[in-house]
Amino acid sequence: MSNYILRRLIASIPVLVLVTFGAFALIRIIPGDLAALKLGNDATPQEIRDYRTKLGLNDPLPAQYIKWIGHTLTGDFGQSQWEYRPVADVVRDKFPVTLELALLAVAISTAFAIPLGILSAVRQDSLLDQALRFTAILFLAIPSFWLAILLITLPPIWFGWKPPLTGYATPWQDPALNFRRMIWPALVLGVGSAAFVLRLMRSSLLEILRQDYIRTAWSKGLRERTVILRHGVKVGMIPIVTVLGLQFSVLLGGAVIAEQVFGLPGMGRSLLGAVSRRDYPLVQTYVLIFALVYLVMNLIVDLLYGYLDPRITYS
Amino acid sequence: MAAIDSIARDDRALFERTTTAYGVAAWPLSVLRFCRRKPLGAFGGAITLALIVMAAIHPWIATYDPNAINPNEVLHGLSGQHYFGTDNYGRDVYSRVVYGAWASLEVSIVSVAIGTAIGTAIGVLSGYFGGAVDMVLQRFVDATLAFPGLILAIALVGLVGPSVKNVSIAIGLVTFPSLSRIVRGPVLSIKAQPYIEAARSTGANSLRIMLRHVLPNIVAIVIVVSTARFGAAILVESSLSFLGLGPPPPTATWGSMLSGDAIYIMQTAWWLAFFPGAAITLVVLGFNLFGDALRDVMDPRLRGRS
Amino acid sequence: MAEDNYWRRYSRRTVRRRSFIAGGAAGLTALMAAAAGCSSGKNNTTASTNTGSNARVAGTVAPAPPTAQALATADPALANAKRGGTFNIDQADEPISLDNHRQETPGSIQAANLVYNHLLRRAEDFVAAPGIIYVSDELASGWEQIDKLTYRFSLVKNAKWHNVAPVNGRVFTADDVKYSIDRMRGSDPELRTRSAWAPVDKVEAPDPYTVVVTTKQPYAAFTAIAGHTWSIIMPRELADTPDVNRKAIGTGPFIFKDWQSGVALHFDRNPDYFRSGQPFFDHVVMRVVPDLGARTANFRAGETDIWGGSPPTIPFSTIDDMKNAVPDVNEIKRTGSNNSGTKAFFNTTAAPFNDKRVRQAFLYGADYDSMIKIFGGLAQRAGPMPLASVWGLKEADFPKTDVAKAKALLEAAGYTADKPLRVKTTISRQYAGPAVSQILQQVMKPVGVTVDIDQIEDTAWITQVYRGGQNYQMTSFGDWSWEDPDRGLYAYFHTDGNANNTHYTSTQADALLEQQRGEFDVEARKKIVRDLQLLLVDDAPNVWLVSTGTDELSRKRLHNYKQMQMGNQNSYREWENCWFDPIPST
Repeated sequence: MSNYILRRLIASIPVLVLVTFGAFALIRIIPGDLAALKLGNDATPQEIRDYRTKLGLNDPLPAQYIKWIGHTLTGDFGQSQWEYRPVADVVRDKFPVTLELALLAVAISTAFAIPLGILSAVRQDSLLDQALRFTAILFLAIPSFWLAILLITLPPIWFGWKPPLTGYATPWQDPALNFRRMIWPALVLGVGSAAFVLRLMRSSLLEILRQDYIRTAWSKGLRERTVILRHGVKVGMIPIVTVLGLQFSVLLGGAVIAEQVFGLPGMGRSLLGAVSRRDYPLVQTYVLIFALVYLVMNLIVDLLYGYLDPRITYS
Repeated sequence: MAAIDSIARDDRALFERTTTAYGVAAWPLSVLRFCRRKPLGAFGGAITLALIVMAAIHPWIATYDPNAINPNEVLHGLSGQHYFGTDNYGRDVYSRVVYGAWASLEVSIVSVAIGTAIGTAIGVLSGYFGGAVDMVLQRFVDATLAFPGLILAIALVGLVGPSVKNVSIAIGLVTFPSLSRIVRGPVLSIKAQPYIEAARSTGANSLRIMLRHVLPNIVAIVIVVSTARFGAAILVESSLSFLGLGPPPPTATWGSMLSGDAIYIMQTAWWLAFFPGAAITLVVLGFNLFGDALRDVMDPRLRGRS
Repeated sequence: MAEDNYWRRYSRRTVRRRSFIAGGAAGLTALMAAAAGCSSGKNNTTASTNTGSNARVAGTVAPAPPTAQALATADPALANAKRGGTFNIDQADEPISLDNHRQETPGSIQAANLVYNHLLRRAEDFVAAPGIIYVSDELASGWEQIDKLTYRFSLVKNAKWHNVAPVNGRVFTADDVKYSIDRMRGSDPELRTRSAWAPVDKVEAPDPYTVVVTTKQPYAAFTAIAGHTWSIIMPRELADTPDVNRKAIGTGPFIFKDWQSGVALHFDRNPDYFRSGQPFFDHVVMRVVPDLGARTANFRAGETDIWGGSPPTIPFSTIDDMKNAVPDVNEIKRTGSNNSGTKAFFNTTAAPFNDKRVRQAFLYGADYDSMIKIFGGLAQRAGPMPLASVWGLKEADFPKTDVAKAKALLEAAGYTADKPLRVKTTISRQYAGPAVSQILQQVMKPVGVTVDIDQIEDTAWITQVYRGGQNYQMTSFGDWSWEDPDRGLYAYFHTDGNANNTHYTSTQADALLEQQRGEFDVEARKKIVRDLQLLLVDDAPNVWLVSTGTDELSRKRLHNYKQMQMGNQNSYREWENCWFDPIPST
């Protein structure tokens, strides 16, 4: 097992190299110059060139890349060009917000989708099933930013109530404030994800329930609940786990709209600004984090398979 | 933006189980039978068809030039002249929605076509050749999956400019890796089939085998996966537009009509955001219902049961 | 919304062109919180004395140095002021740096100006008191111009730096002013104040409360620069360290407390402010609220006190609607109040816009009346200097729309009906590029000109078009102008101007630009500037389109809040003159 994990980790190294180099090159080949942007009209072309040299932007791309990787490996992520502080500080501020948002969204998604998905499968073709399926497919079709803006625009007009849109505290500083600020964006993110998971849970469970071993369980006279929960749901969870794992990375990247509309100080908003302002060190570090999270989630998902389906072994 | 990553990744999981479904479907079913067995799917298909018709004849059913400003009719409500009212430049919202159908269709078709073409090619090559080719291609696919879609989209649009076509290409490029994963599995199984061996022994070269024997057997799954993505592509375009990364003005796309000012003016001029929003929702719903039904029909393991 | 929306910026008037650059680059939206401040209304009533050393200086009157105490009591408006409460400012863009010498995005200016002071400030109502442009009621208690090159500032004696490490409440002296001016004109390429202060030759501090500044050449814009928003006076203990970007320690009305990244900046009342009794708010919270919908919801819910804007982002009907929902508000409407306006901006060295006739075809062809209507009726024509400023031209000075003339000009330039003109405007989503370009595209149609819109990435646009690349035909956007014509026109239209991004060259314009720079008599300078502007309008390196009006609501509990005359960037700090009554509970 630990062997397996080790091999997976080694296999992910080339992926990380590809991702980081891709990000590194991509953000540098978009037209537009960090030095010129930062210095403004008062700077002479010579000063801009010198500034580029100072930032190391005149070095060949591979050399810049190797230098950055070298520093990153020693824990030095560089200095954010527009936040005027170390990248590590920025990431320490922003990453936990988005992480929490994504976790909460996945939790909401799971809490709604799995029970409702089971219900939908068990009561296949009933009115409830039809309603659930239609609601799910409708939520999949609504743009999330649209939902978010509706949520902050209409309730103040109709009920004189609005979700809290300012202030922020970490769950350790002020759990109540944190929850008030997080729950609405997490809901907006979560319902889209829930619709997806619900549909998958339903079809996955339906398929399991047709399997031979389930028929055997029925024929043994086990109670419906036991059959469905003990035998059906556990195996039926396999694709769900995959999706939730992937949804997590997706939500991590997709949080930008929720962060923007609800004014959360997260990584998505920061990344958007960093790309558009060519904050190279910050963008590179964010990409590295995204890639790491993605790879780790994939690994966790694969390991969970083993637990859910004993037929899978790791060698 | 969630959507951009989700279409890149989610259906990889969704179809992981169903990868054995290749090439077995009793396809095509008669339309009539499809409608009888899948009324919701048929409804979705009807919406999709309506979109296609609307897009095809948009210059004739629009009542105004969609980009023509009219200083005397800024933010007028619904009327006989302006079925869906006018926007903050005095432009006819109905005509813009109609033109937006064309743009939305373009986004979905181009992006899905690109994603499908690249994804299928990589999947087939990877599965068919295996070994080092497989190894290299799959690491590349891994890297693309692990790359934040947002950055990829911004960078691509920043490089080539944000026209409808370029935005579609960007969406397509962001979404191909998952398809390549889905395709690779079935190709591996097909490769082991006796008829491939037979073809090879008659002297057919690899290209011919891939085109004549492998590809036809994965068409069904490619169609199923791709159909599910049409709607997602429209959602991604609207998210990109919301973030200011969509097609440039004055192009009327549903996403661009929802982004920027319109969505904030909805308190006093609800029609500005309602009609494009409803259009997106309806069409994505249509694509999804149709795609679902298609999957059921073409996937023998789920056929007739969901 | 990453979209940098000019119309949202338009709701506030006091942002400088430079601010735009960085703010836009940041992909941030503009000010939502009021940049305007509460005005004491005291400045232009102060008695003025003329130094009399030079008859031509007479126009630039230096008012008598009022004491801080006198100020607080002299203004009857402040007599009923109540102390207390937390004032919330909803800011669309987060500050980039609190060092205004370095970054002047709207958020950066808003935050820094709560904490720092300047030497001078701009008179509140320029139009009402045209002789007085800059008055000395900030850190300079008085100033005089000794000769054409020399200025002497007397400084307030009771100002102290905030009691925060590493400055620790040290007394403010002339040395701080000398340090700050030398910093602003120094060689650090990151500082954007350098060209404005470049004409300064030396700064001396003969005693702790006197500063003497000598310029290399007669520099009529000097007082404008000294009173400029980002000419803040900073302590060397902080300004010499990298902390200066994330921290602020000034002499101003509010003490910087903390900066919660992406959320808010907190400020506390400065109990030792040199204007005794002021400010009145106990706390100021500058919240970062990027989404317009969220800012609107916050105003509706009573969490902020100021909201408003300009069409097309915020149509006036939306504001009327809000007025019905929130009855306890004052409304301020302003016609064409914004500093400058929208423009078509040509590369005068490349075809087709190297031909003056083609540029003039835009000048005569554009349908200004339609544009004004689209902008909701409070708009007016825009010019090289804003029409609402004392330097501005009058509506009658501009040619009226004349499609036939525009067509004739195009024909003379070789663009006939068979071979019509087709141009590409290269824009980004910032600076209202999309809004201006969509309208321009349509209003040029009757002239037979096809304007294609090419939208490129933000930073690419700024560095390759806005700042004067060679490979573009034209661009179109909305922008502020500087309040002084030297800053507003010299850099942009002088052959050697550092922001001459249209690559415009005219010996006549160069001569007028040099002439106004050395002219201290306001009336004489106004005449030169007028001639210069008429020349620019006709030569058309830019075609100035329209500037929009604003409609702004403020809650009645916020007292002494006045929307400032356009161009008064100093208004940012004037929250020190506002108070709550009743004081909101939260």
